[in-house]
Amino acid sequence: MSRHDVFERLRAWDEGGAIPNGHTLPWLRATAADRLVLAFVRMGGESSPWGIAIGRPDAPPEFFTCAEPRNADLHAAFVLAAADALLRHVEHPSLLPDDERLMLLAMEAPLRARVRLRQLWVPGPSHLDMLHFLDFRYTHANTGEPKVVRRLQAFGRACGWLFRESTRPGQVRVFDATARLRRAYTFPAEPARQSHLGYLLAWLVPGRTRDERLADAREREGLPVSVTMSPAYERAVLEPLVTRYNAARDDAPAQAAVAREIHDALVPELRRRWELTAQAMSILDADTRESNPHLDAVIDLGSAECFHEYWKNEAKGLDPSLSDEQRRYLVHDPETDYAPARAARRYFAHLHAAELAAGELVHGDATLAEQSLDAGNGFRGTIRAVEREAIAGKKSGPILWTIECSADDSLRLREETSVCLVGARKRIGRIRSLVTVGAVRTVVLQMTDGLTRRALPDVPEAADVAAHVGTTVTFLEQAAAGFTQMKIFRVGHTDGPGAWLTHAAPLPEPSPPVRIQANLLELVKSLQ
Amino acid sequence: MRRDVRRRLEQYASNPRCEANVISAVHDVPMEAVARSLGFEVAVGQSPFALLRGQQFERSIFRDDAVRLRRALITQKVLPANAAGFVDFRMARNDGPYPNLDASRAAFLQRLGAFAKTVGEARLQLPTILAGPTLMVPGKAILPDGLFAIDVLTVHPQPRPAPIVLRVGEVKVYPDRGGFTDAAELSSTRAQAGLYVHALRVELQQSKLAQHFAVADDGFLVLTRPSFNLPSVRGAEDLQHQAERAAVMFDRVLRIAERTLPADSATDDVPTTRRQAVVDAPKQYADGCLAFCELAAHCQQEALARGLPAALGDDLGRFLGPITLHRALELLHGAAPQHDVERDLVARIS
Ligand code: SF4
Repeated sequence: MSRHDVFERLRAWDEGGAIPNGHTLPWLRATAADRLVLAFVRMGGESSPWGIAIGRPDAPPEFFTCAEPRNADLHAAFVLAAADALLRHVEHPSLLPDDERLMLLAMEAPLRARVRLRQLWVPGPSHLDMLHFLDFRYTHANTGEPKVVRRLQAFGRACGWLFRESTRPGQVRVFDATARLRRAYTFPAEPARQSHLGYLLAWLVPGRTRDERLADAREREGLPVSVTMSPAYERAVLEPLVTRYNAARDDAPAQAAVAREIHDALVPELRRRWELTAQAMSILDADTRESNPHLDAVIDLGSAECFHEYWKNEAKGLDPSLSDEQRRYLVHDPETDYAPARAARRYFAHLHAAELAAGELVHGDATLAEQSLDAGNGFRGTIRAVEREAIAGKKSGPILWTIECSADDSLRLREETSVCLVGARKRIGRIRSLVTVGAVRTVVLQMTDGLTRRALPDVPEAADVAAHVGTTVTFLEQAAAGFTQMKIFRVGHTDGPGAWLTHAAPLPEPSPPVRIQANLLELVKSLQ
Repeated sequence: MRRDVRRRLEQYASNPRCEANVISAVHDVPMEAVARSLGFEVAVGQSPFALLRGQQFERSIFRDDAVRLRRALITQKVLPANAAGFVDFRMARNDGPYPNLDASRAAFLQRLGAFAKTVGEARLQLPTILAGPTLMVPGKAILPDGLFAIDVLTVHPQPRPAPIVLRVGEVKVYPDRGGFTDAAELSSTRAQAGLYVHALRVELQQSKLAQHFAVADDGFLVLTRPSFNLPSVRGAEDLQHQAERAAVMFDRVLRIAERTLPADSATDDVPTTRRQAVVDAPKQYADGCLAFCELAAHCQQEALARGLPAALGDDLGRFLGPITLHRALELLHGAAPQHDVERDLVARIS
C-alpha cells in the first residue's frame, strides 16, 4: 500500500464513493462472444464444486449442480455436463476438425489471433482456486469410459491452465472481478473489507450519498460471494435435502425429485455470484476511461502463452500415435513441475511478464508514470543544456542532456542506468552522472537511442538545442524485460551458473534449520 | 460453554491493543455473547458438511493403527521407513478410548513415564505415533479449562542417555496445494502447532519428565490432498518462533488475568456484569478485527462516527496519526493547519 493509495482512500471517503484509479484501464473491452462468466459454489469442507454457473455475459447462464458432490461418479457426470462451455472458450483442439487443428498447430498465428481477446470472468479469488481444485481432481482422472475420461482430463487441464494463467503478472485473460474493480477504483473502506464483490459494487452505485452507499455496502456484505455458502443456509436448507437424497438411495424417482430440490436451492446462490460478476464487468465496460494504448505487447504475450503453455500440447496430445508415456510429458501436473529447471523457467516467465506489463503500461497512463516517479524509478526536470561531448580525434561525440531536478524527489536510479523519455519511449539515455548540490540534483544523460527524426518522426532530434533547452521532461527506468526473457531459455542450459541447483541429480539436500539467535552479535559470531 | 484456551490466546493475539478484546479473551467472556447482548445478529457456527468432513478425515488417518498417516509420514521422512506402533489417547467422542480429557492426560503421562524407563532394543521399538494426547496449560487456576489435546505426536527414540524426541503434528482438513496453499490458514496452523510445542515442554517440566524427553523445534502439518480423503504431510516445519511467541503470549495473558472481573468464576454462563465489562472497556478498532471479532461492524461504525482514521484501514490510521477523519477532510479542502502535526499532514497531501 503506497502513500498514494492511502491518500486516494481518504479522497474516496471525502467523495462518498469509489473514485477512479489511473487514467486508463489495463485491459481491453472484449465482445460478449469472447467472454465467459463463471461462478462456483461448494459444499462446506469440500474442495470441488457443488454447482457451476457458466455463460456468456449477453445471455442467461447455464446452471449445473450435483445432488451429492461427495459421490465421485455423480460429480464426474456433473462436471462433464459443464465442461463443454469452458473447453469451447479455450478453443480446445478436440472440438476442432482434424485438418483445422493441424493447420493451427503448424501456423500458430491464426490460433493466437482467435484467442487473443478471450476473457474468463469469475467473482473472486476463491473461484479461481476452484479452477485449481478441478485441475487436481480431473487432470489425472483414470476411471470410466475412455472417451469420458479423456474429456474430464481435458477439462481438468483447461482449468489448471486458466488457474496458472491467472497468477501470471499483467495477464488479461482470467479476470477476478473483485481484484479488477480494486485495480480500477479506490474504495473508501479498509483493505480487509474490499474482498467482497457485493460490498465494492455498492460503493459504485451512482446518485447516492456516502451514508446510503455505506449502509448498502454493509447489507450486501452479509450475503456470501465466495465459493462457500453461509453455514446457516447449509444447515437450514441444504443439509436436510442432502440427508433426504441419501436416504432415498433405493427409490430412484424420489431421489431424482430431491436432486431437483437441491438444484433449485443452489441456483439462487450461483445466480447471485454470476450476476454480480457480470454487473462488475458492465460497470468496468461503461467506465469512460480508455483502455491503456500500450496493451499490445501484453496481449501478444498472453496469446503466445496460451499457444505454447496450453494449446500446442493439447493439440499434440491428440496425436493417436503417441504412447501414454509420451503424452504424460505434454501435460502439466497440478502437483509438480517435475524438474527444477522447469520451475525456474516459469519463474523467469512470470518475471518477464511483470516487467513487460510495468514497462509498457507506464507509457500509456499518466497516473502510472506518476506512481513510478513517486517510487523513485525515474526523474522529472528541466533540460538546461544539450551538447555534443568533444572527444579528441572524433568528429562528433555523444549527445549529452543536462537536466536539473529537485533534490527532494526520491530516486533509486544510479549511474549507468538506462532511462526512456515518457511520451517518446524510444528515446533512451544512460545516466552519466548524478550530482546533488543544495536543493538541485543534476542528471547528465548520454542519449543512446531514438536520436533522429527517422527514429521518432514526431519529436525534435535529440541534438536540437533550441527545441529542448528549457523544456520539462520525465524519464523512467527502461524496462529490462528482454534480459529476463533471455534467462527463460538460459535456465535450461546444463552448464550455466546455478545449474548445480536446477539440474543436479539427486537434488542437493536442504540446509538444516538454524536455531533462533535472539542476540544479533552472537549470531554474527556463530556464522564466522 | 468454556471456549478452548488456544482460541482464546489467538483471540488475544489478534488485537492485544483493544482492552475489550483482552478482557473477553483472558476472562473468557465470548464476544458472541456480548454482541448478542447488544442486539446484533451474529452469524456463528460451521458448515455441518465441513464438520463432518473434518471428523471423517481425522478418523480415516488414525484408522487401522494410523496406517494412512504412517505411510504419509514415512514418505515425507518425518518417520523412518521401519516405524511402527500406535497409541490412541483420543476421547470416546472422537473414536478414542478415553471418556474425558483428564483420563486421556493421565494415560498419556503414565505412558511417557513408561517410555522414559525403557532401555536397549525395547527403547528403539517404542510406538511412533500418539493420537490426541492431552496436556494441561500452566495457570489453570486463572485460565480454567486448561486442558487441551494435541492432534498427533510422533516419537523418535534414541539409545540412552540421549532423550526421546517428541515431534508435534497438527491435523487440518484444508487442502495442501503446495505454494498455493492458503497462507492465512498455514500461519494459523503453525501458530497452533507452536503453542503445542511450548505447552508440551511445560507439561514435561511440570511432570518431571523433561530430562527424558526433548520436544523438537520442528513439527509437521497433516493437511488433505485436494479432492481426496488422503493426508498430505508437510514435514520439517520450523516452529521455534511460534513456540517462543506462544510462551510470550502465555506470560502476558497470565499477568493480565490477575486483574479479576466482577463475578469472574469458573461457571459456564456469562453473567451480565462480565459482559458489561467488555461493553464498557475501550475499543481499538483495527484491520484484523473483521476476521475474528463479532463486534467488528459495531466498532467500525463507532470509530467512523468518532472520525478515527483506522476505521478506513490501519495504514490510513498511521498516515493521519492523531488527526481525525473530519479534520483531515477540512485540511484537504484548504483549512489552515493549527499545529505542527497538521502542517506536516498538509505538506504530505498537497
Ligand atoms: S472489533 Fe471492537 S471489540 Fe473486537 S477487537 Fe476490534 S475493537 Fe476490540
